[in-house]
Amino acid sequence: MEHIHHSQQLAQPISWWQSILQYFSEADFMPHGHCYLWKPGLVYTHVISDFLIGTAYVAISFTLYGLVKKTNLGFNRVVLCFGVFIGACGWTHYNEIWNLWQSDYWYSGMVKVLTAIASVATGIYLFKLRHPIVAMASAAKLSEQRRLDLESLTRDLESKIEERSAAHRESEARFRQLADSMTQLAWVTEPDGYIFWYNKRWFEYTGTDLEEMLGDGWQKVHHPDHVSRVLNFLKEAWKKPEPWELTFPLRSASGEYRWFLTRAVPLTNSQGEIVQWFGTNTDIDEQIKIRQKLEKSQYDLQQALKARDEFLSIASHELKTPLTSLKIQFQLLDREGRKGNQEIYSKEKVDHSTEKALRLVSRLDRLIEDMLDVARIRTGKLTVHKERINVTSLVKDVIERMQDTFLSHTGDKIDFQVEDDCFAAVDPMRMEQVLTNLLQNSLKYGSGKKVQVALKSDGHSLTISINDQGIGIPPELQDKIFHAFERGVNANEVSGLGLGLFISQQIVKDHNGKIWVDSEMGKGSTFHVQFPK
Amino acid sequence: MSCKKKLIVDDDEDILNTLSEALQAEAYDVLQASNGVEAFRILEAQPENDLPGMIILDLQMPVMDGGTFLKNLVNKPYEKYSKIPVIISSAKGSLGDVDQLFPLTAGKIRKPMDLDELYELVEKYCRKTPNE
Repeated sequence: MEHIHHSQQLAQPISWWQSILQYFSEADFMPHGHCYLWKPGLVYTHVISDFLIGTAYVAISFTLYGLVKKTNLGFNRVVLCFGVFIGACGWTHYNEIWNLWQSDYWYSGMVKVLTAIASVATGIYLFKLRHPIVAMASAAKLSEQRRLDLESLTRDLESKIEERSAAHRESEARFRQLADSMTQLAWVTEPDGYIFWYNKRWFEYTGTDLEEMLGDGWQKVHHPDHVSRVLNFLKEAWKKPEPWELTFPLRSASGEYRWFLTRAVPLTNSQGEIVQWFGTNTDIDEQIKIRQKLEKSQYDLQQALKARDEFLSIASHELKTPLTSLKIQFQLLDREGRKGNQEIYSKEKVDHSTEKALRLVSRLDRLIEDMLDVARIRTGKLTVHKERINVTSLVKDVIERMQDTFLSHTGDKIDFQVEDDCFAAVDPMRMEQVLTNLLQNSLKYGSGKKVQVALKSDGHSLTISINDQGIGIPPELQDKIFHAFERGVNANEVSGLGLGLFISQQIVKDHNGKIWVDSEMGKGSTFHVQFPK
Repeated sequence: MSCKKKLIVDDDEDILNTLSEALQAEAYDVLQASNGVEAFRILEAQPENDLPGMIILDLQMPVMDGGTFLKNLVNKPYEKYSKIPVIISSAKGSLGDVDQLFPLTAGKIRKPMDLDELYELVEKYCRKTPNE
């Protein structure tokens, strides 16, 4: 019908303008619904379908726009064409609905032309882009793979770092546990010697805490006499990456100083630079004390050997002195006898020689007895046999026996003041030995001046005092003279073994008594012997 | 200086007496001193033309020992006695100390000495003339 109508119009003479208008006129066309015979089901099937398709195309077109904009892909030609193509497709579907009731077929045809152009352009562009798209897709795929690989590597690294720091933490904890359980004191410093960690033993021994000890706080537990020596040493020691050792005393919590041997080892990195110092202090107090004792006993031994040698020299000198007189005397007698000198056989000469010889022999005997007494004292075999006697008589007897000697040497007899009938339990021989020795000393050191003897009874004890006005004894020697082989003056000046006072003291001790001296230089000495009644 | 006269210096009385007897038996005159100080005192008391011809000196003595005596002997005011020969008589085990005192001394004799040894030494350094 549309066709017939159209040819009728063409038959009438019209202007070119009119004929163009006429050509594009849609007045005679019937809406598309007629083709569906206006069957509502069919009409709405098309309407709904076209509407949905058109809306979907438009929506896709907008979504595409949004995506491109959001991903910054850029609106290049293929995307633009595709967008236009999809949008135009949607538009044609809306036109289908429109033309169900209208008959704007030229208009919908134009839209389809636009759609066709966009679709063809899209097709061409897409065809052209097929290689870059494949490359892009594989690049995207590769990049994704790389991202995944990277993620996995990162996870690996993270777990390794975690493992390592756990191992480091564990090793550090183990080191501290070890250092804490050591019997030595231990510490760790920065490369410059700043101490930042001490083990438990350090704090236990010094009774300090970390805050107090940090840095150079250690100086507080050092002995003041040693700090500067230690500091001077350390100033150099920290500079070189070499282990060092040093010995010094450290103060304990109780305030006592003990000697420690300190050793430090540098911990270095791969470049050989010092990272830390690890040090220990080992208690060597016992060893030091043993060494000091050993040195002391070695010294004592040397002194004892020296004293022995001196004694041997003195003893031989002392023994030779009476021996010289004896020898000369007998050789003289022998010589005179052979010469036929009868005078030597006279009673007077024989008595004189005999008396002199016996005196010299008893002098030798006394020297040997003194030496034996010392040996007895050393072995604890000096014995006293006490009996109750009249000490007054004993003292008088000893004085009486020595009066002649004193008279010839001092020009004076011994002056004595003794209480009558003082009785005590003593060994008479030994007590006589003590008194004789003290009187001989007073003669030897008394500068030829008067000697006085006193015997006093006082409560439970007796005291015998022997006073001389001689050279006196310096205070520092007043104890020493009672030691074996000691004397108040140089051995070159005075004869004697230097044993008299040592033996006397031992005898008096064995009587539960005591012997001591009061003396002033240049004014004389008074020896006192005191023992129980 | 008289060789007939001898000075014995010794702190031991027995030795002083025995040595004196021994020398007196050979007709010597003997002077005795028990230490260095006493010895100088005795020397001072002698007339200058009759000094003892010999000193027999012990080393170990109180007040002034033999060594000190010898050192004083060569110095003022005693240098006038330094020509007198000195014989050291010592009981010391070693006579090393004595050797140090040379040339201050003429000789040495070790105690206990032999009588003949003593006479020999005495005559060696100062022989008295038969008239003395």
